[in-house]
Amino acid sequence: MFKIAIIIFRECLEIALLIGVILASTRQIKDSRIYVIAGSMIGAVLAALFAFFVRAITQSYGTYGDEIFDSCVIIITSIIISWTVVWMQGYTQKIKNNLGKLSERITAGNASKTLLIAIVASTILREGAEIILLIYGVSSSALPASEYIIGVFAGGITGFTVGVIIYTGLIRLSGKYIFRITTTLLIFIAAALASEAAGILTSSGVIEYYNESLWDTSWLVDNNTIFGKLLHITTGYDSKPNGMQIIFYFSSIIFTLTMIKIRTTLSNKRHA
Amino acid sequence: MKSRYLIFLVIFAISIIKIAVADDVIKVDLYIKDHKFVPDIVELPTEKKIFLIVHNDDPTIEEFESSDLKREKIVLGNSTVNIALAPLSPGEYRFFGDFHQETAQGKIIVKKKE
Repeated sequence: MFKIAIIIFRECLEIALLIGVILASTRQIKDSRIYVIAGSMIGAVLAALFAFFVRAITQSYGTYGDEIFDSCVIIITSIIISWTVVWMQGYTQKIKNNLGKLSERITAGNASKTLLIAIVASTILREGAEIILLIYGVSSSALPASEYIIGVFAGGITGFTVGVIIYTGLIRLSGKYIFRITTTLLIFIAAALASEAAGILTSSGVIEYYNESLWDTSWLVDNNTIFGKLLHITTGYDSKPNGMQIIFYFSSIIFTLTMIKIRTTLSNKRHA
Repeated sequence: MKSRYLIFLVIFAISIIKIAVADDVIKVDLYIKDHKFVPDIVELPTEKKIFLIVHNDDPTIEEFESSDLKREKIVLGNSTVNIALAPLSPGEYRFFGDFHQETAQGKIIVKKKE
């Protein structure tokens, strides 16, 4: 039971973290909660479909199909996160320009609503499918039903609590720096995902360049500890990164920063 | 006219890739039994592509995971997944079953052939 709880908790961690940050950063947007809920529901349905699909094809054929699919989903999530960050800069400008009527909530455009739904849905799709498969797999094993139900709930609730702590912590502690902090966090999360995709592509041999590990810091923080996992999600920490991962990582950061720069200069010009 | 050339080019390119894939691949069967890997130590040469075939003989779900190999893949109970790996440089690569880490541990040892 305890083991199931820990596994479920680990799987929930990434969802809790990302959604906590997203909720904190979009607090000022009208109806943002509805879009996050819509995104969660779409994500959950997609995850269930995906889990079923995986179950249907127990044997995966071909050589690179899975790897390319996995890394595409990860890269798309990374791009959506970067895009959200860039869009968020636009609306911090809006807040600054409407300082007098800050109590009024900002209405988001249609594009950004879709963005918000997509970011939540893709996060839940990636992690949720695994949780569903896990619960299914455990339920078909010999373990007594009550034990795994308690385990699943304990893990899920702990994961949810972490999300709530992240959310309230960000809002309470960061105050007016909330945008700066959430933006920085999201830029790193996007870069982490880009690096993860690069890891899959180089390891499977889809990309055959710069696939040598550059250094090894597993003696310091091992990827497989809870702390290592947290670092991995938030900053993209990898104890043995290869060249391609580093290229993907920094390209993602530079790309997002450049887009932010372009966006802010454009909106400054508009308001000047 | 141009598009026809393009199609030929694409087919030609795909056939080259296919040949490249078929060439020099080592297939390794890895079994999961009672939440343990059999064999738990796999010795492999360098400069060869590897095709890991992970058979889960347990009724329970497992996830083949390795941060050294930068991969993770769900293996359902009584089923099989394939994991393609690019040629590895000499060294040890740990892997484990994410859902039964206390028993499901193993490693790949890559050595240069003399």
